[in-house]
Amino acid sequence: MAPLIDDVTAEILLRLPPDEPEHLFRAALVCKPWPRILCDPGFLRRYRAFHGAPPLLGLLHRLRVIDGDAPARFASTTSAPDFPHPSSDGRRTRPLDCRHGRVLVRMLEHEDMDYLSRTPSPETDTPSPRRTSSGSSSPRRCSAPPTAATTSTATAARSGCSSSPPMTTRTPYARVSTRRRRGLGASRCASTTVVHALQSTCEREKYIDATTHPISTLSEAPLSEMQSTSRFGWVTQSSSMTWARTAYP
Amino acid sequence: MATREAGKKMIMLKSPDGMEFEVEEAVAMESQTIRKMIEDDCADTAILIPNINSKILSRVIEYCNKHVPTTGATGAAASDTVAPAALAEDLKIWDAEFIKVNRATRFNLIQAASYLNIKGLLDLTSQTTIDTISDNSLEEIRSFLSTKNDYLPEEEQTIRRENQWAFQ
Repeated sequence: MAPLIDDVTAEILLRLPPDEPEHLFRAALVCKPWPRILCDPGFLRRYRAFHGAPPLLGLLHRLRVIDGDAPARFASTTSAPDFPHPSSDGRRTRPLDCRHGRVLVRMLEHEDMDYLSRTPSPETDTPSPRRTSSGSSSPRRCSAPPTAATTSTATAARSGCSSSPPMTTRTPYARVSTRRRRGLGASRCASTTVVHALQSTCEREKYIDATTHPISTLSEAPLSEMQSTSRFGWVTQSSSMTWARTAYP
Repeated sequence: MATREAGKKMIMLKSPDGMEFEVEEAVAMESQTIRKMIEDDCADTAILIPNINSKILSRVIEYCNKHVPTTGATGAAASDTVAPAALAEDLKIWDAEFIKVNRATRFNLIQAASYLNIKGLLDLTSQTTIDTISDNSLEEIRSFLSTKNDYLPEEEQTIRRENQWAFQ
C-alpha cells in the first residue's frame, strides 16, 4: 500500500483527542513528516477550530495545609499527569493569576517570575496583553471560598478564552497602572498592575508566547505587593497544541 | 450532462478511468466542492472528478445517496412514520457497515471526502481511523498506515527522553 499523502494524514491527525496531550507527542514520533504536519500553523488553526474551546488540562491552585507537606500546586486532569506544566520540573512555584489562558507563575526558589501563556487563537484572540475580560476577573470571584472560586473561574476562563470574544478595552494596563491597589477588592487592578510593572521593569514587552517559550524566566519582577492579592484557586486553561509545538518547533 | 428526469435535475460525474455516474443534483450537492461548481454554473457538462477512481467514486455516491436529507413528498411521508432519532440510529448502523472496508479503500475514501468536501464522510472515515490507531503502539501505527520510521535510533531516543511523560 502506498504511504498516505499529507492531506489524508492531516485529516486523521486533526481528530486526535486534544484532552490527552500525549497523543500528539506519540504521533510526532511515527515518522518525520508527522511533526511537520502537526506543527504547521494552518493545521494548528484547523485543530483549534475543529475541537472548539481548548480542553482543561489541569488546575493551578493555592490551597494550603496546616500540617504536613504542601500539596502540588498543579492538579492535572488528564491521564498523563506528568506533562510539562509549572513545577513539573521540581521547582517550587506559586501561581499568581490567570487571564485568558495565560498564567502568571512565581518561581519561589529563584525569586524570578515565569509567565506562561496559551497561544492566542488568531480567529478569536487579539494579542492578549492588550485585552482584558470583565467576566473572568471580577473581584467577587477572587474573594469567594477556594472551591467556589476554582469552579467559577473555570467556567469563566472557558467562555472568556475561546467561545465568545470578551469585552476589550484599549491598552488596559497603561491605564490601570496608575491606580494602586487598596485592599482586597481590586484583584484585576492589582494583577494588571503587576503585568504592567513587569513590562516597565524589563523595559520591553515580555509577554511570552508559549509556542516558543513555554517556561521563560523574567527576572527582577517586583512581586512583593502581589503576594496577598490572589488568594485562592486559579484555574488555567492550556491548549495541548501549545505543548506539542514547544517540543517540535 | 445535466438533464431532467421526473422533475429532478441530474448531474453527471466522471471518474478519471472513464466511468460516468448520473446522480441527482441533491445527492451531488452533498459535496461542497460540487455544490460550488453547480452554483457557479460549471456543471452543465459532466464533472470530471480527478484522482478518484470509479470504485471509490461509486462508494462516495452510495454514501451521499444515503445521507442526502429526505425532502419533498417521499421525505415527508418517511418522517411521518419514522422518528428522527430512529432515522439517525439507522444511519449510524449503516455508516458502521459502510466503513467496514480495507485500509486502502478507507484512505482513498478520506482523500475523496477531503477533495469533494463531504463533511460527514470525512468525519466518519477519519474518526474511524484515529479510533483504531490512537491507543496503538508506534510500531502498530506505522504498520497500519504503511509509514516507515525515518527517525535515527538516537533521534528517537532523544525525543523520548525529552518527553518521557508522553511515553510512559
